[in-house]
Amino acid sequence: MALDSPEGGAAGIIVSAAPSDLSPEGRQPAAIGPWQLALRRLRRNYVTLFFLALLVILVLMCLLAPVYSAHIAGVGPNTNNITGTVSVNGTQQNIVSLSGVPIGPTWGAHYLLGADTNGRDLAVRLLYGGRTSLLIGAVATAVIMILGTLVGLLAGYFRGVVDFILRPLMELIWSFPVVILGVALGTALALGGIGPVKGNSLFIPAFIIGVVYVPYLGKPIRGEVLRLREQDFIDAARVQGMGPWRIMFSEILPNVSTTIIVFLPLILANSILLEAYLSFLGAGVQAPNASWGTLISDGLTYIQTTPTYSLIPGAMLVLTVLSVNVVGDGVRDALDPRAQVRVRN
Amino acid sequence: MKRYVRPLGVSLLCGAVVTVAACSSSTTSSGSSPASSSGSSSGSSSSAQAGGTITIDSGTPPLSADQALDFTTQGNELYSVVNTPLLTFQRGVQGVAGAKIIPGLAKALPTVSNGGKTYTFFLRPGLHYSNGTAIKASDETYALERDIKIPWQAASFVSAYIAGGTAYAGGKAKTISGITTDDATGKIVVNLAAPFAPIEDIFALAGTAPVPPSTPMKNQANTGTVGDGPYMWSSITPNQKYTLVQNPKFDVPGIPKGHAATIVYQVNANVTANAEQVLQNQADVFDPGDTIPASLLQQVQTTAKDRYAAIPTNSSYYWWFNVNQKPFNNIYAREAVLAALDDRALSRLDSGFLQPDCHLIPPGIAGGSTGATCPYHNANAAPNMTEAKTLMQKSGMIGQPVTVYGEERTPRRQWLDYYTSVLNSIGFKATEKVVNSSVYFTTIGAPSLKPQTGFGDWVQDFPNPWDFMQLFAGNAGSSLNYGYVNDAHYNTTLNTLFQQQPDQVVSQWTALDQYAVSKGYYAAYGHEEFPKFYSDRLNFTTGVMSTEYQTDLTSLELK
Repeated sequence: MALDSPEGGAAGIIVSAAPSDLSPEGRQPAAIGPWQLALRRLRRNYVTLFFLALLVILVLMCLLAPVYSAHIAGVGPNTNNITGTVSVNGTQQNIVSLSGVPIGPTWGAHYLLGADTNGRDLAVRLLYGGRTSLLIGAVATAVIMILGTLVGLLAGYFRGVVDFILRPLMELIWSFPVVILGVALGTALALGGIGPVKGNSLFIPAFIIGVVYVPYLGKPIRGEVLRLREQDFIDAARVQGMGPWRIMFSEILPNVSTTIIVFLPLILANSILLEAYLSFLGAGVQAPNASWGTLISDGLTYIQTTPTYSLIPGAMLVLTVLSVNVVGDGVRDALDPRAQVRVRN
Repeated sequence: MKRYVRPLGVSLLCGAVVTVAACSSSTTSSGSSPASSSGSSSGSSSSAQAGGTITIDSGTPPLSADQALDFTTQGNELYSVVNTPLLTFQRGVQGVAGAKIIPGLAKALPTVSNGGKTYTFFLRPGLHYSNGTAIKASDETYALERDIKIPWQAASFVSAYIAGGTAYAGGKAKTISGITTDDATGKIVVNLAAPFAPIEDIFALAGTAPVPPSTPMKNQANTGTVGDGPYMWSSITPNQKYTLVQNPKFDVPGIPKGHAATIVYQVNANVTANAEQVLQNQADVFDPGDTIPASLLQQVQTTAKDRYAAIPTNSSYYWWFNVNQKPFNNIYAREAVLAALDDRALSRLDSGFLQPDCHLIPPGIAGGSTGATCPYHNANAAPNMTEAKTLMQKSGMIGQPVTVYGEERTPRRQWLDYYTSVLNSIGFKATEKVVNSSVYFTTIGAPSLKPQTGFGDWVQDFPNPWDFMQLFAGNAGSSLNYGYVNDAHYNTTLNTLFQQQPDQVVSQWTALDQYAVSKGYYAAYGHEEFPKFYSDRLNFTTGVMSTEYQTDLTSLELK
């Protein structure tokens, strides 16, 4: 939600001050900025803090994938070991049986969660897959944030011809079901790539997700900008001789920043989910790279005999998206100017 | 696993390019040598029940029920019991003996004259199609013309070798001048452009079976065509369901009449579901063109071991190298790959259905070798990584980027993953290019692409080593010879050998295969077994997995 005052102040919020917030004279409460206030609110939201901690743990686990791979599992994410063996309870077992059945979870350092059909360590691939999913989610979110904000600013501020072009474009993308559009683009681009970017590059799914979600941010930003551009402080800026680009980026953008921040976790969660959908359907991350979506898909064949192949990456995906969503809700609540916050005396 | 033949356009392209060696199907047909014996006859058991309905579950439909268009393994299973050709591969016999050619509609095997360029057939007298129409010698000419016009996926088999075939295909002649017939005597004379031993095999393919002249000169996908076989088409819902019923007018001696009254071939892309249906006796036959998923295989092997067997086929799976481009224009680089490949690993990725071997000619065909004679390491033993790395050093190709082409379907994508990892392990910078299976061969065969390396496979069209070795002939064209191999010794030897019957030049075929392997023109890695998997309702022992027909429908009978 955008704040009412152009300076970004927490107008309309009544706050009872704690003793520590009082000035040295003890008469006037110290000024509390909106960000500081939001942080205080966030600190008191224990559910959000729990999921934030969980998210940090998940992200750290994925970031430490190379360490796990090199020092514990001893194999890389794409290391095929089809004819190799692994010691389980003192006996050597084939990583992939003669009839092609991969070993299940050993619950040991090597092949903790078992192997896939190519004899690759699933635990290693799970962590690397998480890196891939998070990376694509983050890059896609950045693309959406930049493009969505830019499109919203341009269409909302300039209106006229610019809006006439950009708005139908957003409506067009908006009108397609996200997954179908993503699969169509993913299938087409996976083969030929985009210019110098090869079809199996992780940038391709990130770009696709970015493109299909641009209207989800661009449209609300446009609406906010249409409202803001009629405000007095914009007129004042014009009178002072500011150009349109400066007005957009120094006057309007700060006032839509809370909207962007509120949308950020929502879009991040949706981007991670869409990446999983696309990879599950073969239109996202391309082999031999792993993502949680490809791991769920690969594990489906063994859903009856070894359900952990699909369930564990599925659980990682659910926990990550849930954490991002809960943290996002917490941030939104913290930034909500209408929220009643009681600061203890 | 489904096997399609090379798409039609490819066959046509081959037909245009090839003068001596022509296209055959890509990945079709079947093949098998016996699971336990070669030559076990499929006579009915005393408790067997004639009649009834048998259901086959398949993951892939044929391209068409019309034998003059389709050349897939799936289609061949079906229309080969409808359209009997002049010659035919023996039915009811499992294994190599099932690839024996016997007279079909012809009285006897053809007489060969004119230095191997003229083949003379005589039609059996008094034959009738399933609709009661008498079969005439001139119907054979019409059938072959139809093959070229529709065209058959393997149309080049006809157009490239029969005199006048090319002119007819190009619209420069009204008929195929190399064929003359006499309806009164049933005489059919086929003149070839040059001696070509595999022509007898081609006249045993259902695609060359005569059809009534009233058959439209276009694809009959919804109805199939009329023939003189043990079965005839009842109803067809293309891509979903194909129903055959016994032909009461079938009158060709020496060919089994079949046991089941009705055979229903239903298509469901979910292969796991198909296997489960057969396991639970809700369907009768798991189509051998599909692979039983490894996740289910164990259960099948334990709980249904009395109705499951893996039957070897005459098929070959290989990686090809573009010998004109870096890095595989360097023989050491190719040899390094051959030394590093672990054929046993590739077999496990195929649920163990692959028999490791580095040769192109399968053991079931004249000239076939075994994995023990592979030059870089025994195909059944660990790879020689030391040798591979030494060869890579020698090649100077370490760090070279390589794009590897492969198909997306299982286990081909898993093969691609493995092959790419092997290339990376010996020093290349390899990345994958996964292509949809339905367009894979047309993609890699496009002359403009010139890919560096990738997956290839071939399933026997007929039991002649030429069927496999022509893939790397210099004049085979990019739609078959993906690596653009053009070796003078190889070409000359091939052109000499195909003029003779394979059993007369077995050692020469073996030597040619070994020569190509030693040159690293291809890295073959095995020959596949197909699953023979029936429900409890069927008599498993009398059911036949044929080299040519896969599931021999005439052998299926209810208990």
